[in-house]
Amino acid sequence: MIHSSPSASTRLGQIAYMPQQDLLLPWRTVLDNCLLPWEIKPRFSKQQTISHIREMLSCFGLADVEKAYPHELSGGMKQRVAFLRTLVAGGGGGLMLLDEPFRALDAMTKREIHRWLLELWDELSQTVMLITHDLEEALLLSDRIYLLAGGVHSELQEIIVDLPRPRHYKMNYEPQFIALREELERRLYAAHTF
Amino acid sequence: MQPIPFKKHLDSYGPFILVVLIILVIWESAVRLHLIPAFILPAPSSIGIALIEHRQLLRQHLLATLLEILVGFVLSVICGALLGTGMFLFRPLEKAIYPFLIISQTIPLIALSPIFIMWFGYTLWSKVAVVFLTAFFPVVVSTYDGLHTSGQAYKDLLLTFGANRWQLLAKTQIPLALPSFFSGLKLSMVYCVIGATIGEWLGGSIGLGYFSRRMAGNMQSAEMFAAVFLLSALGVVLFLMIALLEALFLKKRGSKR
Repeated sequence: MIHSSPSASTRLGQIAYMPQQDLLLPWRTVLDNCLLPWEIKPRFSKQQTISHIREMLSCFGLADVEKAYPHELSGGMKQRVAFLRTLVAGGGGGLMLLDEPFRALDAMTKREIHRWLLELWDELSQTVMLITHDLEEALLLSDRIYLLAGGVHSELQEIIVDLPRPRHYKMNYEPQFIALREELERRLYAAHTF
Repeated sequence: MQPIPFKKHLDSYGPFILVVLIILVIWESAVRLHLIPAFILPAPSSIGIALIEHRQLLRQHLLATLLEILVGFVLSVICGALLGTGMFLFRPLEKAIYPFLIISQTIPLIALSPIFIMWFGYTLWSKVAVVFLTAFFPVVVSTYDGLHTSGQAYKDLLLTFGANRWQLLAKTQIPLALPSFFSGLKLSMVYCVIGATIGEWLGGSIGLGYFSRRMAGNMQSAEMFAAVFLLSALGVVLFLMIALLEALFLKKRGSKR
């Protein structure tokens, strides 16, 4: 996708992209991994960037592992570091693309990450596009869902998620949430003919 | 770093040392009992005596060989790494050069060495040329293959950060190529010792290869074996030095080993 559009070259470096695997460089510490986007496109001074990263690390609960290497971290922590790196790459404002970022995590860790993301969400003030196969994840995190039900050639269906913000991870037991989930599942399977 | 306990050393090196001792005992007794004449196979003890007796001479020859190896190795590493990287970055270069690389390895060195002597004379450089020709191929191939190991995923990620070709190379491709590069260096180092010995065999007035040939001509088997032992020991020491360098460079990557 990166190479297809003619204006793609001007967009590189503008959009923050988080891939499915964490893709942390194993020979760099957590802090150095987060500095990587800065090394490639320095927007601010190094000191500014480092203190900004340190702030985010402590806000992400990663302050203690600043000097740790990726193999010393748990799967959930690695994903959080990768997310932080994506934020540094976005440089504030801009668009964040998350391509099934939590797919590789087990169910428990995933719940934990959702909980943590919801606490963080409102401070981010970024447009985030998240691709996922997880219905609960989609409902819990997003304001709008675009459903690609019948493969690439089907029409996009838009679903507005009118759950109040700030959201809470226990919302998935509320009737409104369950109704939305049912609706989502119905539309998803309506497109499939078995 | 914690000191490794004695038992662990025993576990890893014990069997090897035991086999060496058994071989030495059988060898020594076979010669002492006159089962094998000493000029065919000298006893380990007489090789040891030769090593001590001729230590001045042997050291002089050893240093000459070492110089040839080091000069050849450094040239191989510089040229090999540059060519490997160049082939990785510019596909036309790879297509043009790769066949030549293979051809250079199929040439029987022994046949070519007299030519080198005609070109460079009986100097250091005729040996360096042989060393270079043997040692440079593994460096090129390991550099080139190593640079290819960095996956598309890292490349895509860095491209979204806005990285250019040189940043891709410096930030991910070179670090990911290092393990393969060091494997190539280790192989190349061992080839260097062989290359230097061949070079000296074919013409020279100094070096352990030359010395062993002269001693063989004089039927002084113990001295010849002493030189061969030193050459082999030199190869092992140089190999271990590269391995140590590798360990220092790759120490931080806990994901491996």
